[in-house]
Amino acid sequence: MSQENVALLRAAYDGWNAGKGFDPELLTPDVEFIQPEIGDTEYHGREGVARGIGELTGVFDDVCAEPEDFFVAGPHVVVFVRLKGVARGSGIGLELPLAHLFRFRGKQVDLWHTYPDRNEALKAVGLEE
Amino acid sequence: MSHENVEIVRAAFKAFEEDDMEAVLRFCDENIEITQAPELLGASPTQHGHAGVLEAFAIWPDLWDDYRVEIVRLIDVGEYVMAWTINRGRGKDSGVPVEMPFAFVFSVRAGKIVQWRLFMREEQALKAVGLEE
Repeated sequence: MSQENVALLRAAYDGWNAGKGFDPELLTPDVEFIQPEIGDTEYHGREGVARGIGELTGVFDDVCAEPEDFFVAGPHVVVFVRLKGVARGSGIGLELPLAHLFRFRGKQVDLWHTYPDRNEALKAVGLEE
Repeated sequence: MSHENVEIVRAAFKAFEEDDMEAVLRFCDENIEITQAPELLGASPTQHGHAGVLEAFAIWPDLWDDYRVEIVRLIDVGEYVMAWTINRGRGKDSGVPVEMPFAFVFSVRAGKIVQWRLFMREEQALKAVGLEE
């Protein structure tokens, strides 16, 4: 099951990076989305996720999230992500190593939490690098 | 002397907060060297001199509205002063708030900042001064 979750996430990142957005079908209707450094920082539901991603792309153009490593801990998957973007209107790019923590309920994600500090994400699920 | 250096850096941040660029420059040596965070792409990785200070502010802080720097910690580490900060601003078009942590490593000589390095992660700054967590 856990490797199946990793495969679902890989496909979701592929879709996102291909400009199709993050597949809403992978998210439960009551999904909670937390991105501490951007916008409102906490969002609820699929529309909330779309709004949160919209706020990210509101300040950065050409956003791309490249998954580098996947760590499975029970229903959780921590993904080390390299988030790339260009600050809107500036030509100044930013390339940030972050972590995304996903919690699965069945085959859907009910929690997606971005961590600027990758180790904090691992600690949150009882793993340490 | 280390405490004095910390206070010079603190005063430079305060001058920036007050939008007093002339005061910021008074705290910077004429030959100051600034090194940008490696995660910042598309900008010159280093700037030099007082013109370089202004150029550095144009690279990142000027991209945002209501840009503010909050000092979380400011400590002396031998010949360096380290500052952990939270930088906040709003997208110029979108108004979306953005919050970025930046760590600064300063070298101060004879009352002036001679080197100023930026990092987006604390561990990078610690490594730069020979400290590892």
